[in-house]
Amino acid sequence: MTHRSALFMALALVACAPDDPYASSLDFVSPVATDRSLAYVDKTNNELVFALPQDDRLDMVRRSVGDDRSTVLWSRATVGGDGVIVMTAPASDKEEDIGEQLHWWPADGEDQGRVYDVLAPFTSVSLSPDEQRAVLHFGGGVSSGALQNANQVAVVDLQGTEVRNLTLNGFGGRLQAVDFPTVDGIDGTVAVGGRGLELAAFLAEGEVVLVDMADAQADQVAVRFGDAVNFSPVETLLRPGDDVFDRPALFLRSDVGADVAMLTLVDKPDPATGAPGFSAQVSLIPVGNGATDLSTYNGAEAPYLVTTDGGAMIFTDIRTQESFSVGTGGLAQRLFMRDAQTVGGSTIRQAVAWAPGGNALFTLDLDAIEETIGRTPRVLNIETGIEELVVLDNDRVLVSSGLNLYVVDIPLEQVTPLSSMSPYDAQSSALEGDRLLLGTPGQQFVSTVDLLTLNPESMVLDDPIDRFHYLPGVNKLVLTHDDRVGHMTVADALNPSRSSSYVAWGYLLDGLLDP
Amino acid sequence: MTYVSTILVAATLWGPAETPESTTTVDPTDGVTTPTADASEAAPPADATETPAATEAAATAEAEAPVADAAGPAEGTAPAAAPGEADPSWNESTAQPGSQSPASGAPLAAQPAPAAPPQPAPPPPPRPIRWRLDLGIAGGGTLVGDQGYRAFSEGRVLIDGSFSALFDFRLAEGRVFLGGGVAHQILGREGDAYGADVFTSIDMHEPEVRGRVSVMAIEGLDAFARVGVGPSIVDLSFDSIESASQRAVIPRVEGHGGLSLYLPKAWLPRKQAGRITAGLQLGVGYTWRGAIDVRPTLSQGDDPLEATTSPLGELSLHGMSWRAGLFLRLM
Repeated sequence: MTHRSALFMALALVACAPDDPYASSLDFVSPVATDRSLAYVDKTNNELVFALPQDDRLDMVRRSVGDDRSTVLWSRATVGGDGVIVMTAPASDKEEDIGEQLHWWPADGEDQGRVYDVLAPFTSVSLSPDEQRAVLHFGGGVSSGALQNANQVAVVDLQGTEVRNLTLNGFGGRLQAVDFPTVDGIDGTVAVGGRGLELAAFLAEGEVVLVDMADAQADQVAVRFGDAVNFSPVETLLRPGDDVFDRPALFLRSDVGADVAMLTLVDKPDPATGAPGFSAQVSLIPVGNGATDLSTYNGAEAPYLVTTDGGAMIFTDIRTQESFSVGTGGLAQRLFMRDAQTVGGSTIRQAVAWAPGGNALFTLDLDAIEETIGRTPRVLNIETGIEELVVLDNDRVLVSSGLNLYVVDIPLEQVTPLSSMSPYDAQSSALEGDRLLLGTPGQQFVSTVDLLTLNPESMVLDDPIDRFHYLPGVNKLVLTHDDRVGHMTVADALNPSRSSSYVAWGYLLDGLLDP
Repeated sequence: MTYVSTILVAATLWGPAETPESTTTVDPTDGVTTPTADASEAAPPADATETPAATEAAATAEAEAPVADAAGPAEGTAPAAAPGEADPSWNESTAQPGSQSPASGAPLAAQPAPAAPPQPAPPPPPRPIRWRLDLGIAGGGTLVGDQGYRAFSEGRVLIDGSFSALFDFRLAEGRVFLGGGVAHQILGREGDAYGADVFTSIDMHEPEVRGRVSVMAIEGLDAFARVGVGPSIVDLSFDSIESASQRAVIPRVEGHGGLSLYLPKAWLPRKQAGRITAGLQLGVGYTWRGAIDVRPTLSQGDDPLEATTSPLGELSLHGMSWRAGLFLRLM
């Protein structure tokens, strides 16, 4: 071998050396919790990484989403936790032959996924409560500097393969949010003129657009409130037709103004083709100082809209728009309804009002409310104030307040304080039967509270909690810790104990050495 | 050259204080010329292969200091003649004319002794090479093909340093030497994977048994083939916010061929009698190491929760390798 050929060989060896597969940083999006896994998005490798906790080990499954010319915009778990959806878009505006896609994978990553072609790099998604549909939109703003239609949306059938791309026929208001007016948040349809509509309400500045997601041919219904009316919808509430008021009504709440909009839904075939359609009759209902929250209640003869305005519950007859109010005597901005048992054993509705920063829960029995003069709410005082409230079930709520956590039993009017050395986060909690599970970020404990005996127990962890996850499908608590390579503690949700828990580390490096 | 010079000086200093020895063999391969007869030679050669001149000189020496065993060990184990018996200058000085014994009772008179003519230091006898002991240090590397190694190193080369001791002996008075020895290699790299998200390190210790066959092309240049076998003790560590480590013991086989370049005897201060030399060695070949299933163990505090880690994959550290070094040769 001559010197020259040896030199060429050496140069060839250097030139043929592959690129360093570890040059770029780990780029994992925070995980989303399904009912049986944590799903991470590996943006470096365009993969969806499922961490599947078992009794004594962590299984890992990787699935491709897109390719190296695309990038992941966001990921979400489906409403029921049975799957994960991931939005991908071209990694660069120069990539012209790469389209935007929505990927769906089952929660364990094992079965075949589905891919939906959409037309735009949507930045937000809203999921229907019935788990049927996902609505992709630009409510979170546009994703690049290129020209985009801010009112473009895509309605994706998560149970099938259909994608419906449309532009809202509004009046120019910019889309803010998408809501799914449903009955009790479960039933996906509302009967209008004998037909079932699957309504999606697109809330924009000063207007609302209603779309029947089940009928691609049906016209959209757009309602503009006009510049003269100080109203911009932020929340919807559907009241189906019944014996008291037979037409379905959609209520819209605004953070500004003193009115609630009531859209009465009526059947209206297309005048040109005669195809089935619907329309809305609009009226504005004055509710005192405005509504901070709203609900509905059927009295003996009158259908009521119940709102809070900060210091009272206002009952408005939606037929006559006559109203009366019940003062709470304290701050009341939020409202929820529950069933209560009377002494006689009958079930009545009860309104519960509260407010962040308030000092009490106010419960008001609603039976014959219009006939009872002077009825006042019962007060459940929270001595240290309310920071957050989580409704655990019909009877119990969890209130966090500084270093105290209160379990409030509403029927028993019992407020049990649980104290610790550090603040608890009521949102980082889950209910497993009669057992409350708590894992507050920053703490090194996972705690359980037996709601029957109110006996708290805590299990010390080896590391502070970064995020709390409850996987009901496998009855596991997963407490992730701060480490970019993956670090979690897996505990039995039914009986958390150190003997049955284990730590998993480095699972995001799974297969690191086999690039 | 500085190292070679240093070693050369060391070789000179380390050379044993020579007493005249008889040499019985002339090495046909190392360019030794047959010593000529010299009256100052303490123990001339006495080998059947000697040249006639050498035989004559031996016969002369035998008359004054007979060699006990002409067929004695090749390394000059034949007893050397006593210096007093063989040194003619000593005889001359004791037979100085005009000198008197103090015991004669005559008054002492200062008699300046004539200065003895300076005698050149006798060249030591040649020492043919029958065995060699090489003590070496070396540095080298393995060109690792496994991409997973890049998690520990920016490049593909696994650098090593080693020290060794090898003994070999001449086969059948020819040019071929066969032997073996032991060596120990130390390897280590530190790196990071995925930017600085994961700091990694790999440390290896590789004791090995070596076999070597070498051919002395000319004195000063050997071609050799070398095989080493032994375990590779590998320590891996991965550090992020937490850390994990793993120790693995894997088999290792290495084969190298190369050249040794060293100072021939003719260049040594003691010429053919030199016992120590030094040189350079370069070998190129292939190093095979068994694969490691990497699954490190999480480092935890006291009374920890049971921990599990994920399999990180398989790491194979074999590839073309080379080693260059210095050695000190005793022979």
